[in-house]
Amino acid sequence: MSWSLIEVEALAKKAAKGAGYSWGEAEDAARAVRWLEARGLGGAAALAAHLTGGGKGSCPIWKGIAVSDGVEDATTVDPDTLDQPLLFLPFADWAGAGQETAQRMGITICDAQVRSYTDTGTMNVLGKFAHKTYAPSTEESRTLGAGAGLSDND
Amino acid sequence: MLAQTAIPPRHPDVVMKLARMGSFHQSRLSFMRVLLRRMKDEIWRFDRPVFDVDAKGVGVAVYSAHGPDRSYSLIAFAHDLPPDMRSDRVIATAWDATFTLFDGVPTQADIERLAANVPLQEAGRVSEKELSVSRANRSVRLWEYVVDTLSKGQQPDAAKIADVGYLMRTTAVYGSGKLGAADRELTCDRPEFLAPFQIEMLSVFLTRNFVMDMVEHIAQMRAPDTAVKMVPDLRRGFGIGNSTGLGMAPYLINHPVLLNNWITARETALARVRSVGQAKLETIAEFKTLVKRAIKSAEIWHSEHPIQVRKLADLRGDLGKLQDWISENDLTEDQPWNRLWLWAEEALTLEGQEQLFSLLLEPHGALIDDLGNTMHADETPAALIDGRMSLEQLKTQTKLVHGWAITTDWSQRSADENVWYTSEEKLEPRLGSRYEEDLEPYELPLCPARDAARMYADILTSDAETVGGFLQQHPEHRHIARRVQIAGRFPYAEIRDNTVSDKVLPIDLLRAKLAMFGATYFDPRSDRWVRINMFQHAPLPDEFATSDADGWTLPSLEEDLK
Repeated sequence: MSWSLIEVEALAKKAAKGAGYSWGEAEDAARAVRWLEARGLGGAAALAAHLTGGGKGSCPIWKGIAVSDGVEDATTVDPDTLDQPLLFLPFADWAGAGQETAQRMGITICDAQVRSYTDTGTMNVLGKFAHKTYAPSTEESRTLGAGAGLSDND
Repeated sequence: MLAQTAIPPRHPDVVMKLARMGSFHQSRLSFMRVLLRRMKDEIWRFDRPVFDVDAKGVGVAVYSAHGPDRSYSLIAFAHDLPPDMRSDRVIATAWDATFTLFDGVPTQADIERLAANVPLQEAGRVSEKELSVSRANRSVRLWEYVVDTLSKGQQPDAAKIADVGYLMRTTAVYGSGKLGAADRELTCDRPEFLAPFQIEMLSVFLTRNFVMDMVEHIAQMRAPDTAVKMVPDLRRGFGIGNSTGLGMAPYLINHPVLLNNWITARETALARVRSVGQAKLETIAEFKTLVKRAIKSAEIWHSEHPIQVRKLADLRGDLGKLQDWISENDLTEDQPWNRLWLWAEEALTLEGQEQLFSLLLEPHGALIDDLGNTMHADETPAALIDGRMSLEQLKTQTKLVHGWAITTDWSQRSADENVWYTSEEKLEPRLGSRYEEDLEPYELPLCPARDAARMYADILTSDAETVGGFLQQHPEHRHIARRVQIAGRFPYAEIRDNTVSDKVLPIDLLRAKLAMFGATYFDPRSDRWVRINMFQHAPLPDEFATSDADGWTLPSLEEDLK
């Protein structure tokens, strides 16, 4: 099964938010996942593993943001000190240090994919985190939330 | 870059207000207008390679459109829907008909694969060979009447058709990678899909053809000996209806660069027309006819919703005043359209001003139609935050874009009464009360003005030098900092209004977007969902070659018919 890149990006954004990142951070995490998936690199799986936790090292998203925002220099970051360092790569690229960071990580960047081939298990993990951003459905919400108004079957 | 005009475009503080956006009308730059002009110019051909539908109206049909380089096909699945399952809401799970727009002409294997998925809509999966997924429900009011009339060998009554205006209404048209369909990036370099929403508009245009064939087919199956086809003049009177709810509302907020480019095209068009020094006599004559046709359109435009009832009264009054002004004033010399516009800004309500906007664009195709190719956007580069920008500059930009919001008292309940959220129930987008329901933890970032005011307060007490440094201290402002930077570069990117106040009308957001699509006859059914009509009176594919691609959006005058 394959996914459109926007599907993976949209789910990744909600998953990151559901896991506790701010909306703005989640947007960048999701853009990073899309960037990786579009190059055949397992961005969605890396995010799923990072959000699930248990990994060692600093947060690759926070570190990535510091680098792409110009607060830290990409070349001073040792990818080995990061959890799921793959997620850091797009941020380094946005800071103009993509190639050399990829080299240090032993990754070749190719620009080819138009689809994501993430496995369903990974998408389900992201889906569980994303679910935390959805409000439970109540009768009040069902009736009022989308606008009762006049009949929709006429 | 667009060339400067003698009269500058309107200021974003004037344009980007919900009340004005909620008064937008379709225009020459609307996406369905752009699509029809292109298909006409390029002499697109249309055919129907498959029509396999039984007497109960169950089956499959394929409608293909052939452009100069590529073909596209609407694959339509017709169903037998029990009436109690018919609902236009997102939470519905079955429909009268379901569709996908296929990239090319499908094989039997493609159709079989899609037959297992498209009828399920959100619960199914499509592939990169599909460009959109959509569904439609019959109008209970009109469908049976038309089938019955045709099956008896009679033509339906024109007034009854006009009363509803469509036989089916779409309840969602998903494009751009939804449900596994092709990402927009896969097709956006094709000239036919450069302008926004061309895939969705093509899908709806072909859906209209399918619906007309279906109603005639079912009448024929019911009474093979007596049934007749509909005459072309009546056929053209059917558009495709649409029910749109909150799902569409966040779109304009979530795509700031795209919104900017749409509004820039519109405002540039108006500025060009206002800058015309002398008007040609034939343009003046055409404009005067258009005003008469707009008066007729406002007369047949009905709604039961009190807000729209009032707006329609405004519109009818405004068009009367407009009629008087153009008969009393010279329109040839001295920037006539600008003089008219300046008068209208003082004399007309928003509904009338925005109708005039559309009427002024209409006879000026040669002057403005090129702008149809400037409304797309690659939003990727703009999404990157410039962390090296000085915090002082971010502060200045925030004040410039959200000045009013900074001075608003956000502790008042009236200012932030509403929460935009996604329900876990089929992920339906909804709006609820911050103070009556436990929704705030699920709030979507769809209130830029409030968020900007919060960020501004924290900027004032921050010792950071740069935006990047500030966002290390305040990661919660990352979303709005990005928006403010975008709005600094793209003047029409941000709605400069309160999208969560107790007075917010989501239908304003819906109308702005639907008018950009080219929708007509807005009929709000509550403050958060609206019915519209699409392609009503547009030529059908089989008469495309001999018809005008423009000029159909307003009703013709009776004297034209004689």
